[in-house]
Amino acid sequence: MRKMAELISYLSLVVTILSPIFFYVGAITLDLNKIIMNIAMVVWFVSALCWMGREKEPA
Amino acid sequence: MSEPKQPTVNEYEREPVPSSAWKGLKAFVGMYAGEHCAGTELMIGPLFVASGVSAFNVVFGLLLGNLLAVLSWMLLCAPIAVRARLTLYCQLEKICGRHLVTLYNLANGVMFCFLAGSMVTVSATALGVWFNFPMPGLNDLYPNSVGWVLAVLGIGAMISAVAAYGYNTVSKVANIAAPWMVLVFLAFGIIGLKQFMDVSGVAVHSASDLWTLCKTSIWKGGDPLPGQVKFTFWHVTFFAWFCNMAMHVGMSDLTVFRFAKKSWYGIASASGMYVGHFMAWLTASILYALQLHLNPADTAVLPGPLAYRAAGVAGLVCVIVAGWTTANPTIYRAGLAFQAIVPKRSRVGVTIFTGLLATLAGMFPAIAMRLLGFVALYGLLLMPMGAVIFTDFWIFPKLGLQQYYAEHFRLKINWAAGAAWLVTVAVCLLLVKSGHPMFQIYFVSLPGWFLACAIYIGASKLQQKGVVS
Repeated sequence: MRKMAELISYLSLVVTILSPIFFYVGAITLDLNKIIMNIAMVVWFVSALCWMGREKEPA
Repeated sequence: MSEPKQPTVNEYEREPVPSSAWKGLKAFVGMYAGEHCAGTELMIGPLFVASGVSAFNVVFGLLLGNLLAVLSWMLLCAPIAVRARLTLYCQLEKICGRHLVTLYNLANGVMFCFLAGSMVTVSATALGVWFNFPMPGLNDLYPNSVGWVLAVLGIGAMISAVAAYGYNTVSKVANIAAPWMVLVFLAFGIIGLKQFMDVSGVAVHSASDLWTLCKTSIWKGGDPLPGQVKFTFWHVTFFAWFCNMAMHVGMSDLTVFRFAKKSWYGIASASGMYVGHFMAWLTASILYALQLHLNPADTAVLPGPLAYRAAGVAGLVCVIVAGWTTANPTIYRAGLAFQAIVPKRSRVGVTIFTGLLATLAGMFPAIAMRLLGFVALYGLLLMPMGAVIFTDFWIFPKLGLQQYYAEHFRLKINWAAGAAWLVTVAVCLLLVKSGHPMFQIYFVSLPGWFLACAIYIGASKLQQKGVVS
């Protein structure tokens, strides 16, 4: 569960920075970029809350 | 700009940090990267543009200034921190005596309040986008609408309450938000560049094209906007070097680096300097330059609308979170500084009082709109005490003078240290007042540091003559 949350968090960060790059190269519009960044923000905060600052489960 | 480190309450506050509590390099890299990506970066970048910087001056001035700041942490602050392993206040009390430290706390607390006020101002500009009330302009000194006052009051009250009751929660939110915020700051720059290319019709196919766009459209140089000081290469360099002067040359970060295993861990500050004080300042300034390009009459520096135009709601949330998470520890720290003066008052009460003071300061846009000058003043006021610590630690043994004089003779006040502090500040402010371009507030701290060292040595020689055998 924790690993899944971590993976989703990192993916949302990747999307946060890929979206403006896509806008830069003209692949998406500014409005679409804003929507993607908003979704990535929500996903980051929700998923990061599940694992950041919490103790790792024993293996 | 920098924000105070997250407090480590009751962690070896009166004793050297034991080796079991020392930390590795990674802990400092993450901390500096997160804490120097603050709400105020969104003010400072645009103010550079308002000050008429050119592309070469801002890029290379920041590269050099930030390098000097990192070296100051590495060579001045961290070596003393890992040898003494004491907090700034403990070290100061041994040298200066309790009463002088109280005065230092008062100055520190007041400056923290104003700094937190500017962070509240930054967050309040985001509310302006939602509620559409009139917001202050670049040269406004006083609040200009009821909506603005209510927005600052609302945000300030919330931040104060959280600083008093829920510090740990905000600290957790700050840690979670930090990596995302850094990327949103970078996104501001990428989006701003693309928008610049679109509105100016310039195509960028190479680094050379990009540099031409920067020189001719973004950081064009020329005259500053009315009411702003013209920034040259040296202004940018000295500003970047000294904007955190209280922390490195002023030795505030003794409290942080006393946990470091090695003094070269001071290099960790580079993460904060080159992420927050290079990338974030440049990207924020691109957004403001775009605003001026679209409408030269629209000179207001309002991080909320700037961020919203680039990144929508995510940009607004970034502004609010960046302002909030950095105002919070600042208010907390100011509260601790004031509480040291009135130890019988409760911490909660003092923190709320401090927060309200910061909120009041935040209503006056003069502080945020003049942030470059304020930050330089903040460093200047606290710098002489760093010079006193440096001199006491390294030079006194070589001159045969008594270190930790106040502790040795159980003094409440060491007037030699007091003279070094107050005379240096007075002389530097008089130089600034002279109006000579060489003695602008951004530059005087450098000669001021040598002056403080000289006064402390001279006054200590007089003080200790015939006293110390």
